[in-house]
Amino acid sequence: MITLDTMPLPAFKMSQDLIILEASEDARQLFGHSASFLDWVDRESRGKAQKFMTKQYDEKVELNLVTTDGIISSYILHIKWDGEEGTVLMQQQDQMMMKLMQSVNEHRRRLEESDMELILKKNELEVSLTRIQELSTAVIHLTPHVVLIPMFGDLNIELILANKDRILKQLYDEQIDEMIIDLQSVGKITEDGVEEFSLLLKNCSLLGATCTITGIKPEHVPQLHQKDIAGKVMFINSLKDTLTRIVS
Amino acid sequence: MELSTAKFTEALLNGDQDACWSMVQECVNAGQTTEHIYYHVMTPAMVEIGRLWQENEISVADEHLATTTCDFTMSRYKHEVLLPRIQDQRQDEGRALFFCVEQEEHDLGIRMIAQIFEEKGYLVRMMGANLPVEYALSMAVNWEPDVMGMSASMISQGEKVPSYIQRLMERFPNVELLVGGRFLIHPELALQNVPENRVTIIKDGEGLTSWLASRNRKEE
Repeated sequence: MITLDTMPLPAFKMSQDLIILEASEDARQLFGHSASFLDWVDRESRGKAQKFMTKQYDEKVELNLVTTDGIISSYILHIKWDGEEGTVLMQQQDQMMMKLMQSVNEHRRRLEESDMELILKKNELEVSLTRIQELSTAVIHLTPHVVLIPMFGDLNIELILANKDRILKQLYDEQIDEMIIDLQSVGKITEDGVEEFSLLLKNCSLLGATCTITGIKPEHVPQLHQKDIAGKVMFINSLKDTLTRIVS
Repeated sequence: MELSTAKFTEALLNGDQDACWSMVQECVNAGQTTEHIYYHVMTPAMVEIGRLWQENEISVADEHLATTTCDFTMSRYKHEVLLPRIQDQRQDEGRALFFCVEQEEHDLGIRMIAQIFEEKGYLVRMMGANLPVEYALSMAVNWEPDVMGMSASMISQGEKVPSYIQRLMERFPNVELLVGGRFLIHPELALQNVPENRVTIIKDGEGLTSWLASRNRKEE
């Protein structure tokens, strides 16, 4: 004779009003000793249990059950009615599939987050870049009215545009008479960079500051010459001599 | 049920990401707001999916597929619609932190809310599903939010909400708390004894809309 305990899954027998008549050892261990099957069912699944665990529905039902440890998990219940008695096999939902779905979901979220993080990093980099550009044309006071601007990096239009307002404002606010621009640490000079640089120098002289350029490398000469910068400013080959003059 | 909801429900159950996305795009092109799309298209579709499970018409696996598809559609909405929309906007309305209470895995709703807060100009941190109260506390100590929103769906998780409220209120006297989620439909969990000036119960989308409007008025 087949008893409930020989079943490969937790099983029980119940009456039509869901009273447990007999339960297998496995079932009792999982869900405890209860009079009614509804005691094993999560509160929110009880309505569904009452509706579908009846004789009219001779098929499987998914319900959330609560184990004796208080854990809610999803079970598929297979029911077979024999007169007034229903035999129920309880099969826990395929945990493998649930885990797979969960991890696929987590991977997808992680991708989304890394995308998001890339955007945030890009914004941070943009802020840093602006800061670097500012620092690449720092205005250093030699005396209250004489400033030195050592330029770093490539002299391009972005560098000049990012800094010209700040430099001009400082010249005006601090009534600078003389400005020495040191190009020693400049790498490449671009054509539109020179054009904008030339405009900046013009604006500086309009504000009454004499401009001196130093530290020019041989490869910069043709470009600076092209834009007729030579006519607007004074060039010196040694910063040291000029500094001595200013300091003395 | 509106036709759009029925169609959207079907697409979710089929796991048809493309169909879901093109329906959302149609809504966007027709000028519908994020609130409208989330409250009147996606939410009713997910509610319908819950009902179909209760009626034994679909399985948990179907429900999972639908959830993942909805989740994907929301992420895509965020990246393709929401983020470009708020790109040049100042996020200076305040800081808002969102999470689901411990063991609560249903986080679609709170994620919708988090996105809506972002669109309204808040800086948002979304902590997702299943956040033990200690984590919520330490996160809030470090990040100093102005608003914290918590969500619960299942009754057993909803029962944890009062203790979250109490601990967060004690620790952060100036933080406004919002509580939402499906557990609120159960009258025995109605949270009647919470101080109204500190905690707002958000029963539905309209509830949130009026909370946001009254907060704006207060600021003015």
